[in-house]
Amino acid sequence: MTQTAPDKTFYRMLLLLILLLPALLLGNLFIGAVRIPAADVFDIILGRDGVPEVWRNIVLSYRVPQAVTAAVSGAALAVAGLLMQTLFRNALADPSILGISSGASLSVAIVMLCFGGSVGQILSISVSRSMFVILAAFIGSMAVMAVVIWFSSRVRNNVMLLIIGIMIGYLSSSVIYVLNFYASSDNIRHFVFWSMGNYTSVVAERLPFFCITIALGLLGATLLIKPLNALLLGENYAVNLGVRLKRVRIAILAVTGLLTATVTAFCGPIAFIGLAVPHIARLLSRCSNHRQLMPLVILTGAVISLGCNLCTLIPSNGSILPINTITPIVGAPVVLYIILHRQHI
Amino acid sequence: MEERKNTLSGHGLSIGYADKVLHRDLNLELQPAMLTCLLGPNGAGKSTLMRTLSRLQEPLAGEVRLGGRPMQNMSHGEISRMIAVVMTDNDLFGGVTVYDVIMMGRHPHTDFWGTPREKDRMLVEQAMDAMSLTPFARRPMASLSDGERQKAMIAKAIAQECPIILLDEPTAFLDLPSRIAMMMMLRRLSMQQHKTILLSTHDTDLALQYADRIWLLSQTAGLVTGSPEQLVLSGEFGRFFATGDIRFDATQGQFTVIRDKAPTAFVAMEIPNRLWICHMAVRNGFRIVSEPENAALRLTPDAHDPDGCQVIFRDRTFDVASLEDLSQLFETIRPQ
Repeated sequence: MTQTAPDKTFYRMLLLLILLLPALLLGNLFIGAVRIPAADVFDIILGRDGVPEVWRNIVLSYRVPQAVTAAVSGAALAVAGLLMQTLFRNALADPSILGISSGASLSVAIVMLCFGGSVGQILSISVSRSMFVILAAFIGSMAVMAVVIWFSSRVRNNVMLLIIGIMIGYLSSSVIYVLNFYASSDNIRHFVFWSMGNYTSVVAERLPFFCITIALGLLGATLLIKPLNALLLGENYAVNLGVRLKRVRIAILAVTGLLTATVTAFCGPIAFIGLAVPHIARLLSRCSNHRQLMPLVILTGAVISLGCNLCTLIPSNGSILPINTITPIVGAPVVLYIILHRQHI
Repeated sequence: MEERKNTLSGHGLSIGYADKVLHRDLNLELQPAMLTCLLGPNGAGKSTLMRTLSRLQEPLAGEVRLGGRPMQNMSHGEISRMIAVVMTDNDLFGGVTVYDVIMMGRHPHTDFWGTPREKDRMLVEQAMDAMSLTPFARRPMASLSDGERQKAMIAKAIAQECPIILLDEPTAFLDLPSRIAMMMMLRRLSMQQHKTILLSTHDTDLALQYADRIWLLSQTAGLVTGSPEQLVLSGEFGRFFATGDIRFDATQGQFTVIRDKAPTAFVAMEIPNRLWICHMAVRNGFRIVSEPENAALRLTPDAHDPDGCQVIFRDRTFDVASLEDLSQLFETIRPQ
């Protein structure tokens, strides 16, 4: 029967995404704050000579890492969102729901707002790019994740976890407000910039680490496809189908934590992609099975993230909008659509 | 050995939660290849018992044995090939289709990635067909009615190919004809495919009609088991459900309201459609008696009119020609 085979919509969407991804990746190389003629960008990519060194530097050291970061982060956040929505069986769950990004924000706020100036001076580089900040964000996310996983083996149902995550979010933001109160305006500006998200922070030398970590997370998510499907029926049915609930729950939380922590550490808390992309993939493909959904979500996440990154260049006066000003424009209508059409989700 | 596989028994079971023990020292055995109905008031612990028997929750004390082996020593994977459950919470997330749900029943039998083989597809088709869900295959679960969703979950349980199926209130959201159809379907399943089925329900009359065994569970009396006939004739069934004025009438096999002080009515055996005439009298507050002497109301056949009857009420005589007349008469004479 043709009924189990994913229908044509799935393959059509897969094909479309596979075509869009390289197109958008290239688009991100061709278009940037500095105008570089397309022919020259081609020459740079193909390694030909006769192009100004500055342009070569811009394309290879800035645009390539930025485009890769955008694609990889988008995929990571989208998968993290998919995992959270399935685990909590909640259409409005996203990677930030566990408080992981709040943990990162809090930790970064402490570094930037309390020691901001000194860190910058010691390293004599922009604070927002310092390894300290990345480290702080990572530690913050992982700490929250550890707390959530610790709770997950003690609480009976997932709703409790959700509440714990949301409470951690509130606590962190209130501490951040207090810190803001005492911080210098310069440090606040840096922190606000970080918290609005950007894909420019992953410099070329850190790119391999970033990509490998995310790849590990995505691999982990792929290994969870079967239990994720069973979880769509609810925890009781999943257990009855042989899912080892506690183990699977910890695995899902760990993978989500790894993906979210890595992206947030490098790029700041990026909103809406994790929430909206799984819905976009579900709506367009009409798939619910994670065997099909997982690749679609990875690709859609990368494509939408690259698209949003292109939109950050809209001012076209050399300045770049923070990524979080764009993502809600894409995400909010989707979320509204979901709420209005809830009955089938 | 094969026959012992489908036995499920509890030994000295205490069930409930750490802060609230619902039952202590329950001993029970689910009869293989039979349909057992679990009856009991709300809060008696029916769901908790079913959850404990399917190891969705651990017993507080004692042990559950599956195929003669203690369930604690078995993996969830092993149990998932022996016991299939159908629960009441069937709200599914993510727009899952009916076909996908039934295919999930194959999870315990598929590989690490859950890849369906030809056999899995065939079994899903069969289960879907058995529950007449084939036209709904591609529909998202959320777009179905409660009854259809329930059927899809049962089809999932069938596809799971377990010798034992536990269903928590499978008839709860269904209208009466669908409830009967559901019970008949489950009965067929146990008879033809030798499935051991335990279902909890509030439909006492359907349970009496279709169950091979009945389990009565209450906070006060614990667990009482037996065949429907045994339980009714021994009076256990009646005692179990007796509350206030409501009694189980073993002669009629149904629940009635006891009205010792209600005026009596005698309806002669020859009256056409006697059952429904009695029904009308009872509905209007009378109590049916079998002897005409001393009855406040007497209905006897009319010698001249075969369709009508003669009604005597407190020494006044009325000739009634139709059901409509009788209905109007009752409105004037019924006790306040």
